[in-house]
Amino acid sequence: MRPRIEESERPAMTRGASAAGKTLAERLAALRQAWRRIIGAPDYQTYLTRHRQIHPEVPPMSEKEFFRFAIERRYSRAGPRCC
Amino acid sequence: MNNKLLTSVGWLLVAVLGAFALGAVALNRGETVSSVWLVTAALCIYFIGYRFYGKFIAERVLQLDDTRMTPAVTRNDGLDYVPTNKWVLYGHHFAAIAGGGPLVGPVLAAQMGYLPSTIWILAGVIIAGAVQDFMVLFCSMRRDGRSLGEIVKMEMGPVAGGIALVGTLAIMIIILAALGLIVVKALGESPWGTFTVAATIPLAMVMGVYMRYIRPGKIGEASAFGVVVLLLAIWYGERVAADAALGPLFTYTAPQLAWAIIIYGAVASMLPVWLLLAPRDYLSTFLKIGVVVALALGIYVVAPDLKMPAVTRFIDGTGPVFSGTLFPFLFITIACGAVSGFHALISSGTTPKMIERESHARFVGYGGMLTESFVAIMALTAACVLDPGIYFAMNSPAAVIGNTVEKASQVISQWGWAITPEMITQTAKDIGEHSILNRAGGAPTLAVGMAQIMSAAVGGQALQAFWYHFAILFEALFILTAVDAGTRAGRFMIQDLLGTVYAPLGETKSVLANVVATVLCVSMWGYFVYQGTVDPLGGVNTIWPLFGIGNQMLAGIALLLCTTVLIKMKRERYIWVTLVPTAWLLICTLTAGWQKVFAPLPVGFFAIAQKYSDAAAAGTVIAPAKTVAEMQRVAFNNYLCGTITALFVALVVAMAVFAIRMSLQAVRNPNPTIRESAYQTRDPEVDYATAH
Repeated sequence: MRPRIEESERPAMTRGASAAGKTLAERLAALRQAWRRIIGAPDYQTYLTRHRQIHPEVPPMSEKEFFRFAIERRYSRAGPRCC
Repeated sequence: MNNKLLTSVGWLLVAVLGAFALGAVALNRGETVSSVWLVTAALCIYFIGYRFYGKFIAERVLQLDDTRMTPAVTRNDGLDYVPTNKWVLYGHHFAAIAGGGPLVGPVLAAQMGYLPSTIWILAGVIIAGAVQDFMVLFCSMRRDGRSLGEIVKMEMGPVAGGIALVGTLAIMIIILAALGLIVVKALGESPWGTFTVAATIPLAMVMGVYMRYIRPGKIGEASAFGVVVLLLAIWYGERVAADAALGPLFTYTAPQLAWAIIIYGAVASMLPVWLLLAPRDYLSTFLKIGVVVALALGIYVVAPDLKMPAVTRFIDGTGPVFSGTLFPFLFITIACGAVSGFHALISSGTTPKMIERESHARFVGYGGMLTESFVAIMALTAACVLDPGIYFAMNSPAAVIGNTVEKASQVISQWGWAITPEMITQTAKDIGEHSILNRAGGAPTLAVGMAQIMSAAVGGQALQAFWYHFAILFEALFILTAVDAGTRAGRFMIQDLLGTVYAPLGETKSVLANVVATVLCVSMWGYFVYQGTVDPLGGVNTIWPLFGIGNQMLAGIALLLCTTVLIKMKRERYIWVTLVPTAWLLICTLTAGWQKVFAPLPVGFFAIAQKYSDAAAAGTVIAPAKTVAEMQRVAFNNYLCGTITALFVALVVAMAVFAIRMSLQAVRNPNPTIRESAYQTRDPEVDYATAH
């Protein structure tokens, strides 16, 4: 069963508030995350954050486990490539 | 008010600049035109198309609704379904749709001059290609990110869904064959190129091991290492090619390389994905984006002149690169750069699962395709800045211009492009190759064009050979990734189909079933690759039209779906938005299909087959075939290609019938009959995107 977002689960972040007040390290981390998303690589932080929100009672996969799982999944039954 | 006025003036300026640039391109006959005009005209038209037509479709036709939840938010699992910043998603989507197609098609189409291709790439993307990508993305986004096949099944019934699956598989096989053949033709007798491409295999494996065992998940480190080694491999490749002992180790004929890529495809697609596929995929995506940006900058910095005429006499269908008249074969040949059916698969793949809000679909879907079209314009530019004599020397089959520089220069000079044997030899020498003759397939032509542009920007003459092999490597890298990933995808489709006949063959965990499906898939595309190297009439010139017809048919199927969906939403008044491109694609592909099946020589497959089989039966040999056995081979392959074309035509006609039936039902029903996911409301002020 896939999770549905409840009102209380919404991230506190709202538009506009996200860009302000970030340290350089946070910006770099965001940049790295964006780059991974563009090339279609799995991102552990995204998974971890989300996992803690929706299944706080289940221990998350380790980074190593997650990476193996996600790579396998992406190419296992993914749609065909482009020309 | 002031702001509004300023915006209007800004758009007016873009329009005027675009019109002026297009005027410079279209009207400046007799003297050469700078490629900067071509690229500028394209950019202005994209901006205007996005701002006005894209907005119209988003707001009026689809009525995108930011108060409606997207699947990325409702199903957010931090893995597949992730709400994503629209710029990041645009990058992801572009990297997924950009491939060899928009690079090869325009290069081949350049034989008719730059103007017809430019007009179709620009008009096609605005009215057809971007509309298709955008609307399929919309359909999938409203259906929990379902795939094209599933949506067809939902909205048009299970038989239509089955037809779409068979059609997709057939087109996949043809595209894999065409891509494989492009690599083979580019690397034949080229030890430098072969060495660098071969080097990427162990390199990717080292990266794979590093990312799995040494520093798990550290993609950035592995990719940086990969890029450095890649550049070293290109540099070292020159020495390998010149080396008396190593050179011959990497020198292969085209049929040998065909076998190599067939074996490679079979083995690579059965290896674990982390070892070869994933690391090389990252590397190639990295390079893909880098090269597109570098080429755009290069064109603006160098501003090379277009040496190809605006229109050549080959619009009459007598061209050496592909046979057939401007209508319909120019449209079939350009394919992906204007409208690509394959994008319907990507737009219903990972992208719809990542859209943060509905209004982003316009930027990602429509905007992403405009960018792909821009890549096609740059590929066309790279081909047209070459000396036309060189262009035809590289792209004409041996059957037309022979195997020697003397014969080639004589034939091409007769066509009206003066070229000497020395010029051809010198071009080959400049790029560090023995010969550039008969290298049809787009990749080498594009590489020479790119090398000339890039070396004019950075490094001068001395680096031209380096840039050439860089460009070849860049294309080979993502083609091999596509061959690997495509063979896997083909295997799953074959298992789906086989599973319905005999259940154990559909078991994706069974090693035996995997091997059976993989071998089936590889032998289907492998057959065409091998025949393309031994059939005297075969090659990219023959397979590309088949690919183009298949690809445009898939686009036709996707647009038929979009039309049906619009009617089922009761938005009939906007139906022209999809009906116009659908009609055009069907007219083009059915005409091309009809001609490829029924037309006389030299266009019709059956006519060619008949000619060769009759002659073979009489025991005579027609050049370029040398033996009766070769004659029979030509005949058989043309019968085969003709049959596949007929199959494509049958598929699309069947889909059209289903679409008309469903649409008529929907028109009679006064209520919307669409099957979307339930509406869930959201606050448009909240930004769920996690990547900033």
